[in-house]
Amino acid sequence: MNYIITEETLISYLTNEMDAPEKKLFEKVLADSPKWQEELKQMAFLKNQMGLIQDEKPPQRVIIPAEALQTKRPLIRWMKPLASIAAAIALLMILASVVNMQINKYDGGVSIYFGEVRTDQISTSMNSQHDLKQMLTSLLNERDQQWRTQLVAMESSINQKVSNQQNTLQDVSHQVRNINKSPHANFITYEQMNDFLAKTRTEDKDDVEKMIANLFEYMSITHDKDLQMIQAGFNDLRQIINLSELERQQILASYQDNNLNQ
Amino acid sequence: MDQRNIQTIDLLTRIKKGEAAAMNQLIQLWETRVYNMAYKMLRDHDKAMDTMQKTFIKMYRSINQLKDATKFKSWLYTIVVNFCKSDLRTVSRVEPIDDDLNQRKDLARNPGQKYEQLELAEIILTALQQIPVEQKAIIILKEYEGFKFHEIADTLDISINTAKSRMYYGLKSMRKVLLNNPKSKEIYYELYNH
Repeated sequence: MNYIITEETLISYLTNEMDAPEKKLFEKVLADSPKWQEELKQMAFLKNQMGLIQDEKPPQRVIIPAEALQTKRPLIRWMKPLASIAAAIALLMILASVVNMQINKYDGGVSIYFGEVRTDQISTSMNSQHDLKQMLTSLLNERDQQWRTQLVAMESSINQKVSNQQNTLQDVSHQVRNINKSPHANFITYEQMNDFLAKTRTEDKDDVEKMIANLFEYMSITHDKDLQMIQAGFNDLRQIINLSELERQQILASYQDNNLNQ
Repeated sequence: MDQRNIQTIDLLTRIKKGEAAAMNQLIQLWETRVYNMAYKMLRDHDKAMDTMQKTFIKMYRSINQLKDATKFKSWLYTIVVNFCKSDLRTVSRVEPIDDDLNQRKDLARNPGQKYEQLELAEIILTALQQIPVEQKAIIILKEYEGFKFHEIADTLDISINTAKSRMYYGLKSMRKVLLNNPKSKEIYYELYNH
């Protein structure tokens, strides 16, 4: 007798999922195995106790929200091909407008133009695909050269504007920094110093205001990147002006002290 | 094939013909079973209700994918078990047996049963929560939902021998959990030696 009890056969026996011939063999081997007898007894006890657990009644009936039961509208599914076609047409229209493409039909065939209408018409009624490909390549190369030239000119123009602006900002910064270098020799009286600083402050303020007006004008015609740069410039100016005001007050205070001591 | 499965096949045929009322009848036929499976897996009435709702919504939406009506039971329980597993992955707290004993005093629902027996049954339900989810699912499917091992294998997509082996180790783990707690150990042996 080669039958061996395993975990799986024990469970099959315990749950009554064993055919009659195997059951007979199992019981024969089990009779000689106290270890498996104890194991089976323990498991059968636990299984019996588990059987005492009763079913719970659901506290309420299943309520499925109407929106959860709504089948998904197949709108997207049937719209997909239409959307693809629409996207393709839109893309074609955009490309056509970018390269200024024109298509003309005439008796001999179809002519396609990119950019200005050419007098020397190139017809698609050619002998081979190779001719058409060559024509398109030649036209695209021509356009490409024009675009490159325009791009270089545009880049140069932007760089010039940015450079001008940077110079202007440097001028403003320089002028404002000069406030810090206000003379404060001992022979100048407090009143003189106050007048001087008040005057220079007014002049500087006027200059800054003018500069701000110019910058606003410039802002209206420049890009976001430039705007950010200008904003940063303003912040610098504000800090410098604040510092200048603080220094002015300190200088006046020291002169007042000196005058009182004299 | 039991009566419930015969009724199910009939209802599925009617659903395919477009009879809307058949879907409600199908839900009514299975709601207690689905609820109990979820409750034993999660040991929480609210979560069991939530799982039942989600299961029937999924059933409603994907019933057309079920090709073989005789496989409905396995198919439905696969949905329940997956929702339960997903829920258990997000919750790690396990109720200790002591807490459970203190909280559950209303056990004597059946006057014919001994108090200790009912108490142990409740403890067992709590011990179930402390064994691995794969073993727990098999024990519940086998002991409470009346599945054959080939049905368990279908539902959980495992082999029959794996299902049997997991049940064996699941029961062993449960016994270990019960004997690790002095209170449940006392009740266990009192009944065992009786």
